[in-house]
Amino acid sequence: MKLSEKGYRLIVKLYQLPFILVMRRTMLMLFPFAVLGSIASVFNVSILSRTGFIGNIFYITQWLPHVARIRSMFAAFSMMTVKILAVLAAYQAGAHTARLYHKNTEMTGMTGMLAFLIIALRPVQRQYGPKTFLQFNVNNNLMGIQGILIGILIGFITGQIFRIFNRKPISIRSDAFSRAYRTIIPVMITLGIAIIVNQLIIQIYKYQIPAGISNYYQALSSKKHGLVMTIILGAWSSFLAWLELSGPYNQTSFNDDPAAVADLTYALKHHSPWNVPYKYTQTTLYHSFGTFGGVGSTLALVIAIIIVARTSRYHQVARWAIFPTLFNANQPILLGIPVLFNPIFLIPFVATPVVNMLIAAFAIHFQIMPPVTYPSPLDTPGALSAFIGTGGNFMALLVGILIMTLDVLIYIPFVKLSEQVRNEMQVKKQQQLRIR
Amino acid sequence: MSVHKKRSGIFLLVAGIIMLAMTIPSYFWARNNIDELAHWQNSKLSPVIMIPGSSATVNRFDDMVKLLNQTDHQNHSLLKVKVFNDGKIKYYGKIRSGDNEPIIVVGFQNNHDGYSNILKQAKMFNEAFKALQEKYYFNNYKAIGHSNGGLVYTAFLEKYYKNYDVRMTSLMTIGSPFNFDETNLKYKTQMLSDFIKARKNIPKSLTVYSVAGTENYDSDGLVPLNSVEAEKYVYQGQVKHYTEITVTGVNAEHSDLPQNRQIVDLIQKYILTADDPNVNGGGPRHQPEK
Repeated sequence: MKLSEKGYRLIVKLYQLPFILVMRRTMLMLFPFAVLGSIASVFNVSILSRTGFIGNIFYITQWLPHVARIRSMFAAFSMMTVKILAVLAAYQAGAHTARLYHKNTEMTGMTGMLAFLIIALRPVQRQYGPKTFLQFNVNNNLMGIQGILIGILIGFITGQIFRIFNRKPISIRSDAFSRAYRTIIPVMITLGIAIIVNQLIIQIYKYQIPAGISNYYQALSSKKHGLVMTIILGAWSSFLAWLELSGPYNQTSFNDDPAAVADLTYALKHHSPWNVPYKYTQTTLYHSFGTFGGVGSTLALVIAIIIVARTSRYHQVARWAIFPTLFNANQPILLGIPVLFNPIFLIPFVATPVVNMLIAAFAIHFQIMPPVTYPSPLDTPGALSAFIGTGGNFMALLVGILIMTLDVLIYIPFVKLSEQVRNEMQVKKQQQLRIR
Repeated sequence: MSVHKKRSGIFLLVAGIIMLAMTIPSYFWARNNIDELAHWQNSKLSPVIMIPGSSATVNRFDDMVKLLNQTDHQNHSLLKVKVFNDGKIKYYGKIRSGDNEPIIVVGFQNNHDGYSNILKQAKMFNEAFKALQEKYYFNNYKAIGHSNGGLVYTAFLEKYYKNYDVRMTSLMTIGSPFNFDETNLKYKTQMLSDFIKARKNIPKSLTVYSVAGTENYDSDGLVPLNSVEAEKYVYQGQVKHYTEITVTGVNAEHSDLPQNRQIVDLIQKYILTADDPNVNGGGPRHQPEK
């Protein structure tokens, strides 16, 4: 695939905007935490837990000694890496912004991180007997990769505040104290703003606005839709996931989908998954075929990179990411390439789930395979989830493999395009250096 | 570059082998899981289906539902189903998605008293039940019948219940005149003797609560206490548990019974199940963690 000169210039220009620059660098720097944390998370959820995939099929919790203790170690590891990516992003974004303007990088990063934590605070009133306590919790929805956009934004704004108020140039000889001393004003301003923003957010929560939105989404996703609506909502969820925002179909569990529960009841009663009442739902289509390797069919992207990529960096990312992505933990690939907020990957990220859902609907309609009706364990690898969900129907497995192959083919041109843009950018950079 | 490609290729191969190796155990797990689920077959949806007494409409339990929701904060949704004489079924209100314990009230256009009408109403209830079953696919439910509603339920249990693979877990009858106006248990009405004759059809797994209200020592102002107590001849010994409860005091008059605080508490305690996912078994989840 070749990009037109105009489109290419647009992307290059976009990439040189300070915010985009900071965003991309931040995501790349988070890669080690994302990859190690998501591997730990795979151990925690999929392998060592009673509800996880490998834990289930190999009955690991029944024969492995000290399984709870081992699991808690992996849980701690993933908790403090991949589950707080947004906090780390706030630090990185602050530091990178400060570096752009030659300000105190560590102090900016730290302040950005603190600002993020302040904004994420949520006071909870608790009553113990006659006394009430004000307990501070953090908003868990913000801490992980879901909050990464907000984290980067806060870090970037912190950097801008330091750019304005941390004016005096830092000479190399100035001692530590005087360097710290100069940051008092920007630290005060940043954290002051953060506290005000936090108060505003608390007010918003008081009026139940976020709860209203999530209720609306829940109502939307739990309706028993027809084919068209399911595909539209699936595409919309994938698009929002590209921005790491929550869509109607993200994070819905099997039991929250009334259509899935109705299908399951029907199938169990009639001892067959074939003629269930709701054939084209988020469970039968989106969760089972639209998200191989996590939202956006990212497992196909990893495979596409391994097959066609030429740059060593892409291969390094793919090698680390393939294991967690197999179990639907796609944070490493989303950050390492990066795929998030990357206009080049937007099209396949949204298109693959849609194509997959259409093929699956076709196969269900023509009775090639039954709809996915049975729940599968946590973090079951993409194609196997459809296999298990149909009660071990081998046609479903074949359809899954076919879809997988197709997704790889869809991703290949975009991988090539991404490499091409990257190479040309590097050439440009070197030219600029030579001119200087 | 080619070194990278080779190394990545090995990773891809290993990943493919892992996937392949997991297919076979996945297959057996899936088959096994379905068997387990079939055993478990405990649909989370477990409605409470109420039938009002004679001359009452589908709105009969509005106040009671309000009181229930005030006490347990579960926000049960209320669906009213009216069955017309020509077999048409009309729905008012709806079941909120995610509500596992909605309250469904089934009322009839023909809401007259008398044995023949009760048999007709049982038939109409059967139609409504079939429609509800096809619409919501629940596999167990709880039943409450006020006054003649309890009689309709009894007729339904004896005549139609076995046609379904849906379990009634508990039944509460409130002031149901099993012997109509008869005060003496020696004289059994046609209905009561028919009920007793067919009691073998009543499921053995059922738990029944018979609630009577009394204004004085022998009546709730309309139904004689002895008539309510005649229920034991139908259920006692046939079902798993049969419990008689007599409520006195404020609001113990026959038509006040559904709004009676004590009775609302009894329903809370004996009929409703706590809407706690841990209690209800939860089952395997799809992808709650990211």
